[in-house]
Amino acid sequence: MNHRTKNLMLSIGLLGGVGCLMVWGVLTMLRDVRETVTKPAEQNPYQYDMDALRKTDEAPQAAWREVGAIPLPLDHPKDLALDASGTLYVCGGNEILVVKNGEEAKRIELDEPVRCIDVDKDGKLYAAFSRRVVQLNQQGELEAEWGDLGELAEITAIAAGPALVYVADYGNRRVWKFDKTGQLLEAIDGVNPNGEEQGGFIIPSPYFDLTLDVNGDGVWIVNPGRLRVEHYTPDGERTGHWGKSGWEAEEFCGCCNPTHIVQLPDGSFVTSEKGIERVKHYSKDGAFIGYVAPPESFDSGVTGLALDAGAQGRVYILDPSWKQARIFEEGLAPYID
Amino acid sequence: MSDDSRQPSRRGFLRGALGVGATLALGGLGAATVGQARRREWVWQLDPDICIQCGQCATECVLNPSAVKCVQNYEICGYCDLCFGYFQPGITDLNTGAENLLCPAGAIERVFVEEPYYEYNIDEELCIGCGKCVKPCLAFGNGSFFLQVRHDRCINCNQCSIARKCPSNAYKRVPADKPYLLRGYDPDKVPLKTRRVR
Ligand code: SF4
Ligand code: SF4
Ligand code: SF4
Repeated sequence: MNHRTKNLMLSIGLLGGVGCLMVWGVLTMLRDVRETVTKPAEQNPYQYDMDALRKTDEAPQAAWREVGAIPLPLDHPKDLALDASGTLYVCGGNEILVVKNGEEAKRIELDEPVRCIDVDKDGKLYAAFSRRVVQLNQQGELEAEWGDLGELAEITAIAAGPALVYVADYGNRRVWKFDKTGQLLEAIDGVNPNGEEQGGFIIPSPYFDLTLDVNGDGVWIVNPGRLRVEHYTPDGERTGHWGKSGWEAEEFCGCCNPTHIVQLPDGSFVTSEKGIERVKHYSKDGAFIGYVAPPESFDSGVTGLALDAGAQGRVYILDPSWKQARIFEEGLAPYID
Repeated sequence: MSDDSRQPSRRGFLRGALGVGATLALGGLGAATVGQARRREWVWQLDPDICIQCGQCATECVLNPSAVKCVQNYEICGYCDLCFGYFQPGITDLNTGAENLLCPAGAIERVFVEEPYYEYNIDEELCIGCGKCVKPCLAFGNGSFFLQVRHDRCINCNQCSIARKCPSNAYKRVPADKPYLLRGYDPDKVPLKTRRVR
């Protein structure tokens, strides 16, 4: 074999080797692609079926319908409140957005992220930072700054009544009661003085909401770890509760629900939940009536569906995922596509 | 669990004001033995915020059982009585019989702390990294369970075979001296600053 033939054979061998390697590479890639494509997540033997939990077929026919939505151009919208005239206030980041007749009317800038807000019958606005509350007039001007609730405080909800302001603090696991001048009166810790249940408020995740009793008789406070809503008199005495843990539509599912609550003018309640994202309607005795918005109304995984109710009983749901205040009304025929 | 030192002290877990990740107690994960990987510059890790718990971390690792394990971030755990990562969906009574437990490997231990709080620990010898417990913990709880490549086990393959299959592209190379990725804190949520009770 002469030198040229040897070189030629060596080159052919090398080229053949490289070719084989390329073919092997391409085949491996194709196999990987095929395996990836033919192994969809649905075939996961360890699948946890969230959709099975979201089923709504056995729930009573919904009598609520979505009638509108207000866009909320805010960073991380967190809470909303309606005043007696229907003006909507929404906090997010360091701002409070004021919406009149569906249009942005004003933005109020504050020094810290606003966790929650409420507005009283006189139109005074109460905004809570993580550790303290500030009072603003209708023009959004600062009128008063209340005392700091301490290093552990994490305020999650505020409800301003005619004489008292209740502030839910999940860090300290209690509800603080203030008078309208900002004087701290006492705290409700949820511990039953009779001792048949220990633990007071159990708050596994940072959702701890409350709503004023519409008849002026104290406050309804969610005890999320017990999956129920408890009533307290203005003196902080617990007089009753409703709601229970379970997997049915009428029950609260998860380790800690409902995340938000509002009482409607007729005394019935609307609640929102996380995990199974849904908004439900209960009678004033806590009997399940039906869905305001079933799970399919929301993006999967959304949390923080804050609630408020208008004077006519319309329910406003803050949807942080869609960045909207979504408006639902009862008594209309169910919407059919 | 025979080792009493792992029993949570009542007051130990009840103390407050903790910085994010400062005392991440993921079975020693904060001070993990990176082993061979530490001598190299980069190691594989999965981003728990991107992971969709597809199950392939359990099946695609070259090791059997997988080098991916569930870890527990005690800082953000709710210490719930009804833990959705621990119990099967649909149970009505919190009986810890095997038929009521979610984990296919029996790798989650439930320890009573004080009424009504329970601590949940992962036995990494048993965990297969399937992620079944991760999804409900994230949906219903605080997301304290999440998957991580454990670097005392991972042999740091040139091309991680899970990374090739991961449908959400959750795998990336991370510096060997910072080999773990915590689940991100949702800015929409109030930061968790305190433990369960004081
Ligand atoms: S393969 Fe990717 S998506 Fe699937 S469990 Fe592992 S990290 Fe999560
Ligand atoms: S459910 Fe899967 S990921 Fe969770 S502890 Fe058990 S084996 Fe590990
Ligand atoms: S690098 Fe290798 S050993 Fe480590 S997780 Fe990936 S496949 Fe498993």
